[in-house]
Parts: sequence; C-alpha cells; structure tokens
Amino acid sequence: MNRVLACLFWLAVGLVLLFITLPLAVVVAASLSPSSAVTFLPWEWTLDWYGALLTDRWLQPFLLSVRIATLVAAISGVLGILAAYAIVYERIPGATAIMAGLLSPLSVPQIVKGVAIVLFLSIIGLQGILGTPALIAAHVVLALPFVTRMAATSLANFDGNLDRAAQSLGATKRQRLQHIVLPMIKPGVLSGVTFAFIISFNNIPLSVFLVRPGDTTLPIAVINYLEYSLDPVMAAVNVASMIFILAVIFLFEKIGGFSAQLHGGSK
Amino acid sequence: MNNYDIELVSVSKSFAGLPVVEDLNLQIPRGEFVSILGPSGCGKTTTLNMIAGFNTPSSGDVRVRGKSQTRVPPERRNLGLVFQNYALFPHMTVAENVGFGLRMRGTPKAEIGPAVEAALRSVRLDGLGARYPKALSGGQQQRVALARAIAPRPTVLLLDEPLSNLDLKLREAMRIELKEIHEQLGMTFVYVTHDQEEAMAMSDRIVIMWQGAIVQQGEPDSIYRNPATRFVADFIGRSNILSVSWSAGEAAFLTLNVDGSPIVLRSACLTDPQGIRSCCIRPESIVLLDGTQELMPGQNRLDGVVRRIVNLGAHQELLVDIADGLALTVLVRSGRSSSPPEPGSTVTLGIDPHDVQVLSD
Amino acid sequence: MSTIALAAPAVMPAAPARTSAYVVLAPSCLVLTMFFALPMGVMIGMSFTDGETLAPTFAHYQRFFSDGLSLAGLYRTAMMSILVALSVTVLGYPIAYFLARSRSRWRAVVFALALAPELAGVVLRTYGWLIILEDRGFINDALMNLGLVASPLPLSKNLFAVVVGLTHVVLPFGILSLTTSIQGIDPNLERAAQMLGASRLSVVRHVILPLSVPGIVSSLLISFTMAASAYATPALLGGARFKVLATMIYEQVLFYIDWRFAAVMAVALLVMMLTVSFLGIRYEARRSARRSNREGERS
Repeated sequence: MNRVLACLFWLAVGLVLLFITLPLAVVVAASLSPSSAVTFLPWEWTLDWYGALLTDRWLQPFLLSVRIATLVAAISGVLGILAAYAIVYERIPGATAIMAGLLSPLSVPQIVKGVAIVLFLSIIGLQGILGTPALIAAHVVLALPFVTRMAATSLANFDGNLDRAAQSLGATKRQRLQHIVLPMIKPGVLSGVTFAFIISFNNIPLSVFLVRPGDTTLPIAVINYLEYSLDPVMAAVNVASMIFILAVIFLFEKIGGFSAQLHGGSK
Repeated sequence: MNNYDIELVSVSKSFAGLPVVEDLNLQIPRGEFVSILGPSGCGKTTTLNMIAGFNTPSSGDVRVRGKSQTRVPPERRNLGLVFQNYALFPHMTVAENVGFGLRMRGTPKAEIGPAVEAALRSVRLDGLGARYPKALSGGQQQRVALARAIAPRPTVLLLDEPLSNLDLKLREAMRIELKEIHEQLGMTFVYVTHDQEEAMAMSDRIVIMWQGAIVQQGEPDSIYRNPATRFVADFIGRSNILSVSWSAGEAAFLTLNVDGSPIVLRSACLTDPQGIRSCCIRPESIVLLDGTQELMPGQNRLDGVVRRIVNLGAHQELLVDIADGLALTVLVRSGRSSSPPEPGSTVTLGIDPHDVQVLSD
Repeated sequence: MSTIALAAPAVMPAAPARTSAYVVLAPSCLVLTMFFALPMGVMIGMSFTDGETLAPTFAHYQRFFSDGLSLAGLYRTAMMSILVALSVTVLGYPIAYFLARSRSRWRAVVFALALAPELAGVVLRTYGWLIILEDRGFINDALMNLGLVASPLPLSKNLFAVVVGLTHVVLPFGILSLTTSIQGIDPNLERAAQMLGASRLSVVRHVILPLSVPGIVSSLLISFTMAASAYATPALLGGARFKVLATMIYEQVLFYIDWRFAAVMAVALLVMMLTVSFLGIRYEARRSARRSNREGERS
C-alpha cells in the first residue's frame, strides 16, 4: 500500500517536472533544427537560425531592451536604496504608511498600469514621450516596489549592533553608511537590481502600450512576429535572450561576490 | 582634571515615561577594572549605553576625564565597546575589523598595520588577520572583538556581557585572559554582567545595580563578606537569609531573635540595633561540630536534623532543619577522611558570630 | 599610538537627519505619483465621465454590463483564472511536498528544474506551448502519424491552451508558497501520526493537508491574480477566438481607440483582482484571530 503510494508520488513529481521542462526543451530543440517546420525533433542540428539573429531586425530591439533595462535597473536601484534608507534606517514618522504607498503598485495588474499610463500621457498631451522615455518611467514604476522591498528587508535584517560597533570605533555617519551599511545590504540590493533588469528586459504588458511602432523592445518584436510566423528564428531569439538573462544574473552574482566572504575563509 | 575616567552625575533615564535608571552617581578611577553587576532589567546595559553615547540621559551628566559628553556623539567619545554578540563586520577580514577604528580616525596606512599586529598579538591571534570572522570559533571571534575595541587605544573599554555566548570552560579561561589584558594595557575597563562569578573573578571593584539604582559598591571580597542588603546577600553567592530582630547587645556581640522560633543568634556586627531586620549566613561558613573542636568565644551552636544531602562533587550540600519551618543550607567539603552525615541524623552546627551579617531590610 | 585623535567634544548636528530623510524619499514618491498614482486616478476618472462633456456618468459601465462581448470576456477571464489556480495548486503540491521534506541530493535538481523556467521569460515558454499544441504541432503531428486521429485535435487558440500555458507560467510561484507552508509543519507531527498507526495516506489526509491549508489558499490566490492579469500568454495561445479582459483592453486602446471603454475594462479587471486579494487577506486575518483565540484559551 505504502509502496504504491510512493510510486504514485514519484510518478506525479516526474510528470510535473516533465510538464515544466517540456516547452523549454522543445524551444531549444526547435532553435537547432535544420527544418523550417518546427514539428520534428532534430536529428541533425544547425546554428543557422542563430546567425539570422545578427541582423538589424533583431539587434535593434535587443539593444533597445538592454538600454532600457540597464537604465531601469540603475534608477530603481538608487531610488529603492534611498527610500529604504529613509524608511528603515532613519525611521521617519509614518514609515509604515509610506512603505505601503511605495508598494501599492504591486497590487495593480501590469496591463492596468500600462493602460493608465498611456491614457494619462495622451490626456495631458505628452504622447511625445511615448517610446523610450515612457518605457523607462513605466518599467521603473514596475520595478521600484520590488527593489525598495528587497533593500528594506536587507536593512531591516541588518544587525544594528554592527552600526553601533562602528560608531564606538569612531566612524561618522557617512563612514558608517559607506563602510558598513552599504556593503552589508549590497547582496539584497543587487538581487533587487538584477530582478529589476530582468522584469524590464522581459516586459510585455506595459511595453505593448508604450512602444513606438518601428522602435520596439525585443519581447514586443517577438510577439509581433509570432502573430504570423512560428519559424525557428523565434526559437533562436528566445533561447538567445534566455542565455543573455542567465549571463546577466551570473554577472551580477560576480559583482556581488559576497556569498564567498560570508561563508568562506581566506582561501 | 581629577583622577576619574568616567563620572556619572545624578544620571536618570526613562523610556516612554518608565524610569530605567534613577539618580545614578558613579565614579570610575583611571585604570580600574569595574564591573556593573545586576540581574537583567536592572538598568546596567542602559547605563553602559549612556556612557557609550547610544542612550542620552533624561537628566544628569556623563563625563569622560572630566568633560561632559552630553552633546558628544558616540563616535567622538573615544571609548571602546565589546558587544555580547561580538558584532564583527562579516564583510571584512579580521585585520580589517581590527584596523577599522584607526582607519575611521584617518590614521595613515603605514601605522595601521603594526597597530593591528600589536592588538592581535595581545589577544594571541597573531597570524589570523587574513581570515574572515565566520571562519573563526566563538572564542576567537570574541578575541577579535576585543582586539578591535582596544586597537584605537580608547580612553575606556566598555564590555557588554562579552563572555555570555561562550561555553563554560572557555568562559573561565577568558576571565583570566581578560584580567591579564587589563593589567597589560593599564586601561580602564567597565564590564557589564549578570554573572556574579565573572564579576568576582576579574574586578577591582563591583557596582551592584538593582531596579535602576546602585545598591552597593566595593571590592569583591568586602561585598561578599558584608552584603548591605537582602538583595545583595541573595544575589552574590549563596546565603541563608533569616528574618531576625534585635534582642540584646552584649559587650562584643549583638543577640538576635530569629522570628517565629526560639532560636537566638549572636552576631559580631556592631550596627544600629534598631535597623536590624534580617541576617545572612553563608553556607560555607557553617561548620559541623562533632565534639572534637574547641569552643570558640561566642560561637553559635544549633542542633538540627539533616533533611537532604546533595552531592556537588567537591562539596556536599546539606539541608538541615533547625526548627519548625526553618532550615539552613550548609556546605561541607567532601573529603576521603570525613564521611558526611546520613539523612535523618542529628548534627550540631557551629556558626562564628563574625559570619552572621545583619541586614537592614 | 600618539596618532589617535582625541575625543574632541563636537556639537551634534542641530537637526537630526529627518529632513534629509524626506529629501531622499522624494524622488521615489515623485516617480510613483507621476507615473502611477496620477495615471490611475485619471483612468478611473475617465471611466466615470462622458467623453464630450466630461459630465459624470455611469454610461460606460452600463454599456459594459449590457454588452455580450464584454461580459463573455469577463466570464472567460474568471473561468481561466479559476482553472489556472486549481491546476497550479494540484500540480505544484507534490513538488512542494518533495522540496519541503526531501533531504536527498535530488532536491537541488528538482528545485532548479521547478524554478528555472521563471528566468526564461513568458514569451519563450508560451512559444514552446505554441509549438507543442498547434494544429500542426508536436502532439497533433504525433497523433496523426500514428493514425490515432484523422484531423488535428483542437488544442490551441482556446481555453485549454491558455490554461496550460498560464499554469506553466504561474507554477513556480505556486510551488514556492506551498513549499514555504509545508516547511512550516513540524515533521514530528507526521512521525507522531505514524507512530499512532496512521498510514502514509491518512497522514497526508489528516495531518499534512489540513495544516497546509494556508499555503493552498495563498497558492490559489497568487495563481488567480497572476492569471487574471496575464497578457502575453492569452494573447498568443488564445488567439482571436479566446479573448480575456487583458487582451480586450489592449484592443480597445490600440484598435478601437475607445479609451473610456478601455478604462472601464481596466477598472473591472482591477476590481476583480482586488476582491480576490481582499478575500485572501480576510481569510488570513480570521485565521490568525482564531489562532490567537485558541492561544488565549490555553493560557
């Protein structure tokens, strides 16, 4: 009886894992398939589809997405640290209410935020900033609550005794912020910034309203293309952008380089 | 300039209207090892934080070397502080931790290195400078915290229960080491603890706090022998506390009636008889008489029945009923030659009048 | 040793850092006001005003609730979100239980496999499902080659496809909240139940499931809200035939240029989501109230 149950359990786990990995495997396989129909598992493989990516058609949207995501990560990183500093470190009056306000965009669906921004800009006659400036602003609105929350959590978990220890050793407030507080919250902030980069880079629901035709971000270019073709170039684009995201995560992890110090010795 | 490194002048502190420290006066002479001892919540940590500058007194003044510190932020007081949880900076190596204070003061790099070396040597951690704190044992981390605090040569070193996170053996070894470091540096140490053994072992002077006030201060020995109040007698060491009242004064001794029993005790204390409320007898000062010892002048003799014996290894702890509802704890040394009495047997206890300390509360 | 600066008493800054704290908070508040609070206010305002005269009116809402297409979209959104919530929770549970309890070295592998798709982005995963479910996709191709079906099964451009795709998108979040909740259950409770003679099945039914109800509720909630507000997956997998509020809003803005109606739809979607979230918060509040009551009785 227990045996059967255990088998059923493992079967369930296996099937769900298959369900999770199947579409990814299919896309990777399709991107390497020489056939333009994406219905067969490739018994031969080719990198031709990846070669097709190195054209303006895909490079321009990619570069735009990278530019926007970088700015969004930087802006929301700085603003998030500042806000968390004011709320958690300085404990300004009304901190809870202010925090709730800063996090409130999280409870509104992206598509609703997107339509609100485009309607607002049109009503006040600022259609001119549609495109890159509006995309950056909207993505910052999207990312800022996450970054603020992660920075605030890092600051809240920060052992106040470290600050006091530095103070008893003669460190002024500026020195403490620079040498103790910032390094200690760096991992939290960096993961927030990485997250900001990714959600900006992958964003669709806000971007669909705000891109200017002919000057789109990569995900929007992809879904526009998908409307009429499923060819393996699509697979290649998607796999390439996933590899790019993984590289970005790896890079930020390197910059952080913090886990080694916390857990390792001097090796 | 007087000879005090730290002076607290009628300092009070309350949090949200609740007084935590009330009208505290304390002078700490240069070079002394002073322990502030008290149970948790007695205000000792608040007092330490007021010296360090993390708490501002509600009233009164904190002075370091005669200068009022009221408007001086902690980072300008030049005091060292060792934390209970060490508070080592996890993102810095041991050497960077120890050099931090000097670096913040703008000391040239060339001087920081040797100073760090010296500080690490004085806590016997030379050679570990390149490690990160997480790679060290608890005892080593505690030494790093100590080295970090003394490296900038503070006026006074404040220690906030620094040994309470260590295990017993290490704690006892560190007591000796801390005392040696103190002697070697000649720096004033202010040591906050709730552990009376720790305070007894290291301090030149102990300040006992209770309910936000100092109840007694003095050398460890005199506090142990002459506790001023019931609280001190109970808190420092173990004691039998009996409610008594004065009955007569002889030439050399007071005679006390133990409340609710026919027992009479003689005490060598010569204080105002009217103020006597109770007395304290240390368990180890009571001896078992087996008829061979000589009778000392004025010695108290009490007959009792052994109710219970607890073996503590080096000592045997006897609970002896001496009257209805009145029992004394007696500590006798375990020895190969003398076997302790059996439970239920009758014994005679001898108490020197000098060991009967009268208390006023 | 003579280099150490003496503690020269310095005067503390007269005003503590309060003002500067407000200053550093200002940029965040400004950005959120300009690009979130004001737009939301304007949009909600637009849904209640007449396009020409700007007079307050419920006309747009009346139109929404009497329009068959809009109501169908609302119904499809709700149906889709409920199905996604259920399938995420059912599929996620075994994985979550494994992640919470296993100590084998496969745990890390399962963890990575379960959560890594989140990095891949929505488009890649949706595209994968498109390839699999299309009329000429993997499944239909295989079935037809094997001669099991004569014509392709209708696997894409419908509710089924959207629910499959969204389940895949939301699953990692469901797994995370379920795992957290199951991890909070003391493993000794399971051992105690077993010692008292319960079979594995009864342990799951009488101990694990009841105690993980909070995790199940939060998994349902997060799945529902994520599904209801999803845009790309319904747009790609639902096609022109299966429209939900999110895709309809997009059409209203960019094809029909009917801003006020788009605003009404956005408000409808927002209200639906907030209602569900509110129910979740109330459930959580009641649960903690019950717990503190119980503790009160005990003491």
